[in-house]
Amino acid sequence: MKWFSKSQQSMREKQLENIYTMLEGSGDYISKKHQLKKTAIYCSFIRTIVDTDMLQRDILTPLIQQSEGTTLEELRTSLPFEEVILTDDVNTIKEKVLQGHVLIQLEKNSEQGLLLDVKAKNDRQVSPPEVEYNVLGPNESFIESLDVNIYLLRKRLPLPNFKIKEVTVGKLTKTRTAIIYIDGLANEENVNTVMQRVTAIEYDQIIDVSFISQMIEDDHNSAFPQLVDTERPDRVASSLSEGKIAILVDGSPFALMGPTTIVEFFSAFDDYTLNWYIASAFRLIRLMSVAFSVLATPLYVATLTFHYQLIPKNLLATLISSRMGIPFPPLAEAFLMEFTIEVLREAGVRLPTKVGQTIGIVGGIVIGTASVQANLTSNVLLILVAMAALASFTTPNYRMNNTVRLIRFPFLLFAGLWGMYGIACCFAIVVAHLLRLESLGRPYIEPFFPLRIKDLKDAFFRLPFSKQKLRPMLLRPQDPGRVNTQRASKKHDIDD
Amino acid sequence: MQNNAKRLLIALLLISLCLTGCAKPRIVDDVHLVQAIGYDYYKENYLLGTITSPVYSQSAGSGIMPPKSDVMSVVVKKGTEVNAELESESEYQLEPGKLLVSLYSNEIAADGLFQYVDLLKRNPDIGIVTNLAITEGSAKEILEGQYASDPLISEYLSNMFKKHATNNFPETNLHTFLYQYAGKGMDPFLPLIKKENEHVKIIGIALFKGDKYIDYVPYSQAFVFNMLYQSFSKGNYAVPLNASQYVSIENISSKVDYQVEPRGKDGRHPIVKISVEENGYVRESASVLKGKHSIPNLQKRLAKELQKNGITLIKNFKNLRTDPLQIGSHVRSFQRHWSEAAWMDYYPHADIRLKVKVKLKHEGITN
Repeated sequence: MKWFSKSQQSMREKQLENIYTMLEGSGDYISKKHQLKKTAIYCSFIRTIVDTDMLQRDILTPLIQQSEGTTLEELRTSLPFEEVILTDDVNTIKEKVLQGHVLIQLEKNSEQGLLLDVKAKNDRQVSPPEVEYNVLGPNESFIESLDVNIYLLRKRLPLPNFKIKEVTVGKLTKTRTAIIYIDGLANEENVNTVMQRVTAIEYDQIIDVSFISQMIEDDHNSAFPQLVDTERPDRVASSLSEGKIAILVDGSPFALMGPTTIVEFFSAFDDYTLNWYIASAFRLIRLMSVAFSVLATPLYVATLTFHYQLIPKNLLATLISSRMGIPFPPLAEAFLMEFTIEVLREAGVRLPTKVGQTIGIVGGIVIGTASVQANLTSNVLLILVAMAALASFTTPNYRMNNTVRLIRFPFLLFAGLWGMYGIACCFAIVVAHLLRLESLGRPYIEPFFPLRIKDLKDAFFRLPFSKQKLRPMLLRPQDPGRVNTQRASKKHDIDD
Repeated sequence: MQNNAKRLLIALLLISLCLTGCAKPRIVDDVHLVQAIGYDYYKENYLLGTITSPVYSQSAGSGIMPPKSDVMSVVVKKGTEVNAELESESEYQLEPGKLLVSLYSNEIAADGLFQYVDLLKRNPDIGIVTNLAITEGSAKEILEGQYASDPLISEYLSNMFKKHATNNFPETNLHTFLYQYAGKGMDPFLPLIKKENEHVKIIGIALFKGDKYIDYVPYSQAFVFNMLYQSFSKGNYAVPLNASQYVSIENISSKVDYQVEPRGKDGRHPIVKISVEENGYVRESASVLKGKHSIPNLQKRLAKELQKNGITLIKNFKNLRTDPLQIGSHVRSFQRHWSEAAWMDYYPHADIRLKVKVKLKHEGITN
């Protein structure tokens, strides 16, 4: 067996050589000799990702001035670091050096070395949320650093059973991905599903959490997002304590949460900071605006093209005189307007903010007045289209918001071809699709189908906290009760 | 397998898109909406059909221009549709889906209305709440007229009928006509209208026997008719104090109750007892209500008058052998073996009793 170990030896040496030549090939790799009291060390690191101040202050200065050790083991004990890795594994060395560790060796390019984390921390500050803004409640949002994000969650959930499972995905990006849940609360089946799907990801780059979201979703072809993404740590903490599972990715200021239902995409965090019936009213307004946004223009087109009988007699004059002289059928007219609005919105998103003001002026003048005066569109439709666009923006979740905006186009087309019947067909297709849809294997439109009366407490209405004693049944939590019922029953007023 | 099914489904969907030519689009500004239709006799077997449709003009930036009424008439053979004959003159397709009123001259109505109503009934585009009315004189004249309150005669009439259905007048439309025509122990009735200068006036309730117009109840008695026909509110009625003075009463509620003794005294003929409870208040009075005209006295007087008028009305209906109050139908609900023929034999001398109670709740602020 000697020849075998010998060949292994030479292979390792070759590997070692390869790595060091590869590292030295990149311009920001530094390897320098330092003379200590009793021995010399070689210190190697990648300059651009290492905090050089820290390196000098906390490693080199104490080593050069004080250390009397001669072996790596002795040097290791004299360094004030919480984690010092002593390794002779080539791959670990490569990986850690590339992630911002400094490598300390006694011989240059040998296979043994100490690894110390001196990663430069150039993360931005935790700032208020920008996508999911709310009036009341906490004002922190995730940033691009996974550690900071986990810190934001941990400080909200100081629990020993707060579980973080870290995996690395992405062949090139080696993205650190954390799967977070509360052990003993989250359903294990859900955890296993997420773990299995995340580890099965085979792709070269995971730049953002949305990549993961698209890869692990139950139906990749669905227009509806099946995992909630949020930038609010408070929302994630609250979901975790319901028994949901969160996925965070290093480098992405968003967290994914699942399993979820369609209702959650229309609930904002303000729904929980406001009084329950006020919150319920606003949630209903949001749901109605979604229905309005999807159906308003299709109904207009269907009615004007096929079902003039449905128009109340007092509205006839308004509708007909505003459509007088317009050369297009209602379908073309509506498509033109919807297209214009979408173009304006898309342009508004893409334009740099400094130029962005022009969009408002162009949009206001072009679709506001000119197209009506030029007899290209009717006033009534203009109002409907603008209202529908406005209503679509009430959806708090950006991805659902896009779905709501796009889904009205097939409705519009079918309304123009088949009238009400077409709308009904389209509606049936959407409902059938939603019925089949799952989020991490759980039904997507859960409180309604399958009907679970107990989960309706947080669907159309958000009932008061006193009625929210059970966690959502959808998640099948290991511990379904939210409150200590014994203690709750003992509660009494001070003057009792 | 699943893949094949999917492909088939997609193919079917795509094919079905080609079928869309089947649904005929009727874009609302590219059709002529027939909102009112009127029938007159022209001569033997020929009718003069008149339709009106609104012509809207383009809104000039702000506000809506008042529409104009486009009136077209044509002579058609009995039994053919007026719309079809008028297609040759109209710019756009004539669509009856927003028909608001359908008028028939009293001559036509006297010969039987069902064949005309049948046309409306069969057309799925036409709503069941279309108003029907009988005109005293020519229907064409009413449709052609210019009116001060509304440029569109169709809307004018439709609004007028709607308003009346909420006070003195019972509701009438295509649905009630068909129901009363087909129902057992009842006869239809419709408003009777007449043109007067710049206005159209409802002059009474046209009574039918079967589908034939026979007589009418004058408008002044509409309150009494409605009081016997249904429970209602917000009607008004004027009681004479003396030869020149009247007191106007508005009712808060009027409740009518039909009780039938199915066998009556002779064991065969039913007795119908109608009791009416009026709650109202004094709305307008020329003099202070005191002494002889005090509220309790006024109540008695009003009750007496309503009772008298009601009995007269019922007597007239008996003589005409028409039953717009649906008394037959009320009796039917109390009798086990009711037959229409037997009832109609008995009806002209039926024992029908009426009792009216009046309560005036207040008389407004007096000095």
